[in-house]
Amino acid sequence: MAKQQKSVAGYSLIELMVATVLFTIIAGTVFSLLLSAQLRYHGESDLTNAFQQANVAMDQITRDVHSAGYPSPSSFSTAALSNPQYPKLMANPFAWSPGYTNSPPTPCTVGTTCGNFPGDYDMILETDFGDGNGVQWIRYSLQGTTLMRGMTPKVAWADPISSTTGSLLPYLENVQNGPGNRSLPIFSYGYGNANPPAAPWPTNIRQVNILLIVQSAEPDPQTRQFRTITLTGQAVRFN
Amino acid sequence: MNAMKRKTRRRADAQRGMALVIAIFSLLLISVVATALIITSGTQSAIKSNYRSATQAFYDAKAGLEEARGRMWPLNPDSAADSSAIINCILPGGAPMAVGQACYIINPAGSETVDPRDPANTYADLEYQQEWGTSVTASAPLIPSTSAASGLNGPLFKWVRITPRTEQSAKIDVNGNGTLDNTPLFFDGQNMNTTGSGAQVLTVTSLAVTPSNSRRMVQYAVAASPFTAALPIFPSALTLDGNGVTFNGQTGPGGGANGTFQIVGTDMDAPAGTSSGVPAIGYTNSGDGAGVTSAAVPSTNYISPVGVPNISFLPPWSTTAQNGIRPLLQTPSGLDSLVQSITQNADLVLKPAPGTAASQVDLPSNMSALNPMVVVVDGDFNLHGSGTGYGLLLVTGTLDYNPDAYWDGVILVIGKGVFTSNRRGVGIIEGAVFVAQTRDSSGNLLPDPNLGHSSFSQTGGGNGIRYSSSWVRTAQSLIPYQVLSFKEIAQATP
Repeated sequence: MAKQQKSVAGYSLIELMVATVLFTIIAGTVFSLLLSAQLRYHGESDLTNAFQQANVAMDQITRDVHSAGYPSPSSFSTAALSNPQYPKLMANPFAWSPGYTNSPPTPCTVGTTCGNFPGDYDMILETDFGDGNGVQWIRYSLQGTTLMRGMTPKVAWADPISSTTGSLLPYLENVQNGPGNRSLPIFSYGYGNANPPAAPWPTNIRQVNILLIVQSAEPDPQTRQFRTITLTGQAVRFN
Repeated sequence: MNAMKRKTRRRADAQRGMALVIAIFSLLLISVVATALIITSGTQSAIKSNYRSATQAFYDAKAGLEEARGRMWPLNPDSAADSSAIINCILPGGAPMAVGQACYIINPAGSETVDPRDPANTYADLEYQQEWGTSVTASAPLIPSTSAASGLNGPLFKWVRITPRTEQSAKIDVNGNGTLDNTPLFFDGQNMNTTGSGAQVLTVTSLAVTPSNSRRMVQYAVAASPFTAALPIFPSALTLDGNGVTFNGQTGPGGGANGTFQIVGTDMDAPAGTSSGVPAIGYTNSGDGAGVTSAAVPSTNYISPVGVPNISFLPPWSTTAQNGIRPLLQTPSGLDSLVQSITQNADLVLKPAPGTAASQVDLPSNMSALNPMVVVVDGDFNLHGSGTGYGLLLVTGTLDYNPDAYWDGVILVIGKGVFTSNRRGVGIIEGAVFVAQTRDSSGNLLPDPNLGHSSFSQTGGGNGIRYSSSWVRTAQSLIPYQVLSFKEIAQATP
């Protein structure tokens, strides 16, 4: 009987308290570590999403610039010049405004008389994907913090800006380049290394430098700050 | 006391193993945290490597295009020994490629099999069906790539296909007649056409697949250089392009140190027993005929094959006037673009200061019959001395020729358009000469569409000009194939 009593004897209060305190400290440490890791994971995956979307956009812009100007005027016979559909069949690498609806189009100067087309936040390319749909206008346009992309078939002597406005769809969100944010151009243009230098006309653009500053969709849960990633790229047109 | 010790030991016994559980539990938690971090950074590096792989595939595919374009050029020093397979492909029997013909350069990595003709192959050419509406012929030759250098891995393109180009395959209505024809396209130095004028346009398509399975397909349209495309055959031994052209040939007694001045259109390279060739002198404005003919005396000095006029009007090119002048050669801007295109591909560009002239001593010393070159003189040039130049000489200013000197190849005098020679000698130009005025005396480009009045004068002596189809071909082969257009073909990654 005495033996049985001994074996069921409980822990002392002090033992229990020490054990509880120890457990609380250990569990608290582990859980706070886990919580911070989870917050970090959320923050990182948010940034990773932004990074992935910016990458996809950069890749697409690069591909579009590579193929801009296909097919070039040299792909057509002199007889085709008299075809009223000719301006729609061939691709200038870049469409512009104003002066594009003139016959023949008169080039403007990028940075001054071209205004925003092509400009720091807007660019219209022309290319034929060879899918039988003919030459398409592909437009990238930053509106607020959303980079829009639109595609519409080229129409002879039509204004490329009003023609593409209706086709614009959100393509990349939370772009911070715009005026009022970072005020850094998404698109800047190079005109090759010709000597004497080529005039800064849309027809002479040889390469497009692309800068994308994209912000994560949500603020970082730990720091409460939005995080941004910056991607730069250069695309050369081959036509 | 004893009982107390026993009690403590018992309790310790009951708790034995608890440390392990706590340790495992802690490790588990730490592992979760670590895994989360690794996954996050793994995703980031996956995105980066994805982008890198796609970009690498693009440049690999482009390397394939460049290999094909390079090997089409017979003089390519890197592939001269093995370019015959490509030359046989693009010029089967010396004729243009016919619709339905294709050939591939294949570049398998390691022991894999690359057979784009086989629909079951990993790298099957499914694009061919898209372009031509049929499957590729099983007899299309597979030519091994030469890209890999010993000790270095070559680019990771899998194959490059070369085909002729038609409106239907490119899905472009080149002649604007409303239908997509399926006849081979040609390039006249300025525009593509369906009338067979100039050099054939070829489509070169390249597929690259990286080890991480990024696929990119890119496509070139290529043709021979504008020089070759605009002048696949020279229309005459001496061509005076323009309006109001002047000609002065030696009229005095020839022989001895004066040489025997002649302009001969008969091809010196025609097979023995046959006679072929071109007119001795060609002019492009019919109003200039009388002046040129009256200056070309004695007429026995101007020789061409039987049936070909010695001095001939060269009309604008058409299917019925195959010796005509192509559009590129009809306007100042067209000829100026030809000058620029040749300048870009020149082995040497001389720019003498205004008021001075470059001379034969400035020519490359390693120029020889086996190493002909493209030399552009952006200004005046004195071709003096008694040596021989080889290849293509383009002079934009005045060419002063001392006929002790020889030239084997083609001489183009495009710019001020003045060829002058008033000394005596026994040298000869074997090949062809083309003179056109596109710039005024101050060097400004003349407004389109009318060319100026080029002039040719060789009054002192020399043996004149002799048409050589072989030297013309050599001069043409000095400039590589050029890219007319580029596009990327969307590829689904399987």
